[in-house]
Amino acid sequence: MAEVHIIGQILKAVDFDEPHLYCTWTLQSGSAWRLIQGELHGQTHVSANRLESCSDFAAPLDIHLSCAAIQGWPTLLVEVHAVNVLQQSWPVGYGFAHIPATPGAHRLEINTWKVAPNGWWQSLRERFGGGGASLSKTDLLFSGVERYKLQTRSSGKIIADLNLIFRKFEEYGVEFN
Amino acid sequence: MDTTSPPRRGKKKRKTHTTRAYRKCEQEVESLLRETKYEDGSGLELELEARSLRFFHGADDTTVEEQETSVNETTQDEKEEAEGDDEPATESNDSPGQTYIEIELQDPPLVWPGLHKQVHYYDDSLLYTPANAVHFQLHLGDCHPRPAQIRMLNRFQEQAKGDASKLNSDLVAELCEDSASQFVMDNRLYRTISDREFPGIFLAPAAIGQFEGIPTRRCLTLTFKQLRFSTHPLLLHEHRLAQQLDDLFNQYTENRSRQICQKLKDELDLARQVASKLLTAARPELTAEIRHQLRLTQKLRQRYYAEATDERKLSLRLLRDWAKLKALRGEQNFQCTRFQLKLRVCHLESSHSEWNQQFEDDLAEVYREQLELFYCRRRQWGEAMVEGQSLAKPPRKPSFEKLMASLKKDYERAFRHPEEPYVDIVRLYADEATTKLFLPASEQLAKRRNRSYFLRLYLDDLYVGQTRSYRLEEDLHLYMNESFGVLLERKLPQNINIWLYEKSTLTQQGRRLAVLRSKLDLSRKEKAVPLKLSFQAFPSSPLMAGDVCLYYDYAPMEVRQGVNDLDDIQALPNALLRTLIPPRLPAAAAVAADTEPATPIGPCHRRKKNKAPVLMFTEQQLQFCPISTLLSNKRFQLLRSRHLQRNLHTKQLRFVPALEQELSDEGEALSNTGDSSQLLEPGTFWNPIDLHKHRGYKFLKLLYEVIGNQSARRAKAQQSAHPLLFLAEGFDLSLGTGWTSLWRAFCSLFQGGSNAMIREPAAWQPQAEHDQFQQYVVSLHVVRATGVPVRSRHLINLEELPNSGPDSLFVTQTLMYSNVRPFVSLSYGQRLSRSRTAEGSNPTWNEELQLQLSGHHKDMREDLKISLFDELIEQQASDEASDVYQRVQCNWLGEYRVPICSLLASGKFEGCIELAMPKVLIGYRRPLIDSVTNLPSDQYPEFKESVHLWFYLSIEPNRCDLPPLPTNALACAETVELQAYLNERRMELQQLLPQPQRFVEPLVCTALGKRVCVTRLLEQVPLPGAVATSKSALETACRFVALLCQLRSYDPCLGFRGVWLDNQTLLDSTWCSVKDQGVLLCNFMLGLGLECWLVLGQACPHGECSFVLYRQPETAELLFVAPASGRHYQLQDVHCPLRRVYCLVDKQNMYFNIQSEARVSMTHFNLQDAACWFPLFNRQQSAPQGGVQVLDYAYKRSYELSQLQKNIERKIMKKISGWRTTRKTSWNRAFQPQLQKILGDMEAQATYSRGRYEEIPYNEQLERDNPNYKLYGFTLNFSYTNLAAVSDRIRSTCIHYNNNPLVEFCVAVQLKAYANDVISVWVFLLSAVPLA
Repeated sequence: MAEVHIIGQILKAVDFDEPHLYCTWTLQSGSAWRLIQGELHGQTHVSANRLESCSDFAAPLDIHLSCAAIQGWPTLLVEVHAVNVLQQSWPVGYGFAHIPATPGAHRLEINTWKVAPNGWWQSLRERFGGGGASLSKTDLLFSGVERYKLQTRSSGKIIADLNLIFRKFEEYGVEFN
Repeated sequence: MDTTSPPRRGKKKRKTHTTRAYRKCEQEVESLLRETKYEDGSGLELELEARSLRFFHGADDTTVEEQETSVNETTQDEKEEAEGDDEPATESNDSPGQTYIEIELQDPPLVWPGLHKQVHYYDDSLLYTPANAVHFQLHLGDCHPRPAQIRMLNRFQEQAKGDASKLNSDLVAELCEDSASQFVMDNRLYRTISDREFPGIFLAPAAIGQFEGIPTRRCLTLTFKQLRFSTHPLLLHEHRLAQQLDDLFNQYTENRSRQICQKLKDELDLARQVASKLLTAARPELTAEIRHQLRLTQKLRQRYYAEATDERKLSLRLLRDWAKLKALRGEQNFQCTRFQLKLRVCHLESSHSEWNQQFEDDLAEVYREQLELFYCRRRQWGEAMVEGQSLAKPPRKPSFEKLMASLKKDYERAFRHPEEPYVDIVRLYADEATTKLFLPASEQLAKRRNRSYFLRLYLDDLYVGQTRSYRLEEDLHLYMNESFGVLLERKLPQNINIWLYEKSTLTQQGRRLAVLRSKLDLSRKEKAVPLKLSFQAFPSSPLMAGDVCLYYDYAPMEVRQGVNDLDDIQALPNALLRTLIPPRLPAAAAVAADTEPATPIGPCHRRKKNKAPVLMFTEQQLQFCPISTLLSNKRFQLLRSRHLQRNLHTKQLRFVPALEQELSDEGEALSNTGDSSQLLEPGTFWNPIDLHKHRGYKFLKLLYEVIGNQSARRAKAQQSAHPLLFLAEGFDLSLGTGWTSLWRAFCSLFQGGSNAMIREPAAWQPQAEHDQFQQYVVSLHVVRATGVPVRSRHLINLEELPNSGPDSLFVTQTLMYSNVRPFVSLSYGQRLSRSRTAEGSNPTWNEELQLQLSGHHKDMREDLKISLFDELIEQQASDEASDVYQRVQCNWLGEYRVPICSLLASGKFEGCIELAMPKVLIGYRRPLIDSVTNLPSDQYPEFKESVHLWFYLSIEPNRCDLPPLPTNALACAETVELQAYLNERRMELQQLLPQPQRFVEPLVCTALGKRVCVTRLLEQVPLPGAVATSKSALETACRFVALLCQLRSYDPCLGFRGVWLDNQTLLDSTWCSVKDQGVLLCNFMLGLGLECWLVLGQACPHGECSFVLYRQPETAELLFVAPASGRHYQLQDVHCPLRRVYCLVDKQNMYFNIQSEARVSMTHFNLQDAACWFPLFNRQQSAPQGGVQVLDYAYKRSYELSQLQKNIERKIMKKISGWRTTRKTSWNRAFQPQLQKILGDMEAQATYSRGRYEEIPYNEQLERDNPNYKLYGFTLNFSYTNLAAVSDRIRSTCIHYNNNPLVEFCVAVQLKAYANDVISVWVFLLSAVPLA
């Protein structure tokens, strides 16, 4: 019955090629974890910055979880999508990070990748804003079983600031220093 | 690989490949099978694998392909089936393997083959764009605000919306002014940041009930003691002297109280003793300490001498000044100050020797010190000499005599001489009587007397209060002794400012003289901190100065244990520390406990201990606790349910404790009802009957909404997606798309468009939402009424007249029928319009009443009330003969309720209606026919038993565009043949019908959302137990049905094309529409074995509704029963509320009325007559029967009524008292038992009288029993829905508008419950005015 508070924000996306970005995020955890309060999914607004390659989201996270085991430690999954002038959006980055296992303030830098286009025609289309290759199974984001089949390109980074508060882990022999 | 594969497979190149493991398994299984069963089969091997392949992967390659196509077809078929076609699928699946899920052997791709792209929608709904048009209705008429002002208005409106408050009208007015300023003052306070840092405080956790909040309050008590002027125009020499003395004395007493000398002396003695001890020990290593100690002694002694000298000087000066003052007082022979001293002189014998002893000790000490100094100097000198430095003289040895003389001088200065007496100085506070203060006449007496002063107290520039004004005493003191208590909340004042005012005789204000400022130091803990503030008057005022003595006291508001001060930080108590900080590692402790006894205990024991559960996941083993504890944790449940915002109780929860053990019992109660997200919980404060009614209402509303949405959705779907076989114009879409329908489509093509069916108007249009309010005008043309009751008391008076000859018959007649002055009022909600008064019991008004209503048609649920009142005018002669007052009172006689929804649906009602009269009307009686005329009563059709009203009621706009419910889009449960048959019959019928609106769709929608033939609705349903066993079951059944609650809302589901409820839905919810009441009653009658028909038609107050026609078994006479009132009518009765008959339904058939005669009373009811009635079904096609009603419905018992009865009574009393705001309401309970007795009989009367007129004898009986009261009262009867409806009923009778100051009211309530919480409420209201 230990508890975890995750308080923070998804700060920004940096080093992406596309100027207009939004990010959908999911907090995923194992079966021994239960949500008490807060939202586990979310989507930020579309943010753009033409001067630097940096989109500020500042999307708040405030999640209160309870857990009965360490197994299934929560992970933060992010998908970054780009939007163009025609209001079409496609994924430009997938990434995930485990929530840090020490209390306190943390800055997560989540490196993301995107699926490489299949052939020169697709890459040409992609280059002119025709969309992006995307995963058909989103569980690839966190399971590593079939990843070897993918060909990807590295993409930008998502930076998230998290403050973690752990409670009652001491009762079960988990100590944080 | 190839060896094991069968040759067939190699030929055909299957797409399915078996893996090696699979084949291995398969081989094993086969070999086993061979061993057990088939010994012979050598070619069996191939067959078996083929079989298994067939089983798992379908029959053949060819069949697989077929299957794929057929799957597509079946899915299509399924879709169409779901759309209402119950035709079986044309192709049947032959292979059993097709029903299994096909195993996908090829993995789906990880990445979509094409590029992914989706439309991103920007949602602009959250953006606010300032507009130059006003967003809301502004009722300011002629003013035209500038665009800037409009934008400002809009902005404030949005802000008000955000706060869920209303826009302030002042603000609107201010902003709409022509010369509006650019800025608007906002007097709201906004929070800013304080520069002060607040330390945290700790409060021991306590139960919520005991927690009183953080102790932030303090009480500051300021006591003004006195004010003294040290400079004042009136200051005399004596004053100055006395004040000096006063100060000196204060200092003296302070010194005395501090006892500095005594303390110093004690310390000196101690130091001396230590020094002597050290000297006796005299060890070489202690020399430094000895020297230090001796120096300390010396210093202490010197200080002691100094202090003693000061003290002695002070007392001597005090004595000298006191002598001076006394001399002055004696000289000037008047006294203007109060200062008095008393000297007590006492001689102490032992003092001499003590003094000597002390002196010698001191002398010895001083001498030793001097000697030491001398030795020291000589040594230095000697050293200097050795070094060759020539100093002037060698130091001299100190002379003992000199030392003694100087010490003696010191002693004289510091201590009292042993021969000198000890003087004790005491101040005398003489009372006013003994010390007469008086002043010489030369001083300006008059002036002085006027002088009075007061003080104003400010804490941090905040005005606190002012003292009373005090007169200046002769000794220039103001003795105030006044205290202020200031309650401080959260903030401590820093400064105290006191203003001194001189009170002036002219103004209230007074003249400001001086200001005293000081810092308040509230951190000190001691009590009664004295404060002396001196002041200097302003230069503008006469020269003044002085000081104020005051005390302040600072204490916490509540005496609480442990928390003394706001800024006090306490350490955590030990006990709490243990509970708050978790114990260190229980696991480690357990390990430690285990390892200790590990050695003595043998291995067998350990094995026992380590015996783990047999099956356990490692995950579980590693768990902290089972997940169920996580789910059952109360605190988590509370937090979670608050987060979900579904539970009413936890939604607004502000405080959830952080520790589980802090959850109180209330929390437990909450979490029990916890996460179940019910709309309403059966709480203790809800009456179960109320709850049942409320739930029933909600359920029915939800049902209507769901069916409405469903049909709308389906209609839209049909409109957009045309099926393949939609060939003919006017072809009903719901008929399906099978071969039969194709055939029908061809037929209709060849038949041509001439007699093609007119398509239903249904093509469902996506209706525009009418959100805005609509204005309605209800107009009532009221013509005349008959049979209005007459006042009975006057009648009695008339009969007592002496000459009752035959010639007075006319007088009697006219008087009798003109003593009532009735008028009609039309009211809806709080709005009312009334007619003029007419005279007599057969009045004629011929007047048009209008009522303006506004609202959304969905919100209009109430009844339009046409009420009949009697205007009673009492002459009241006042004391002055010229003034005659009239008191007007309106007595309610009866009413007629028209549901506004049915009026909206029908547009108008006209004709003659029967008013619903109270069963008992005290103070009135029916006009008797016999007393008017000798003719038999049947020749006077208007002298019927009831009050009739001729009227014309209409509403504008007539029929607001409520689209009919497109129920024909819903799925139909009848066979396609029957549907087709019905369509054909309908086409025949529509040529025969004289009016097209008489057509009623024979397929009606049930509560399950399916369409069935209307004949299915009629079945013999069981009656409630009490009804079935009562002696006249028919009447009781009628009564029961009439008491079901009617749903009042403008909803298309209420009409014939709406939803027809089955008996279970209806009886469970107890809410229904009028047509459902008819169906239920008809079914009850069928259950009683009567021959009856359901009449669908139009009736006066309900619009489209159903009646029941039945044949009386004794007389074979046909009678109508109105289900809404339970009354019986003859066929020829012109007052029957049924206005139009559309069709008759019984179990076997449905008959449409094709007579050209519209009036019901002239309609023939011979159903065999083909010229009059058109039967829908014939021999070829019989009507479908049954299946809708629940035949084994079990009725439930009603809940306990006593509480409800009390509630209703209390509510009525409370409401009447509340409505009579300005006048007192007195309740007379003496009548109540009588009224209760009358009410007891009422239910039986209402059930069995069949609405016949019977003069009930209670009227006169009650009047006879109470001759010295003027009584007016009536009974009300209605079915119970909720308390608000009850109070609404009472309100519409206006009995509370009784201006007589002596009036007394009485209320009695009786409830009669039938099964399933169907409750009849009887209320008796009586107003009694005692006659003088």
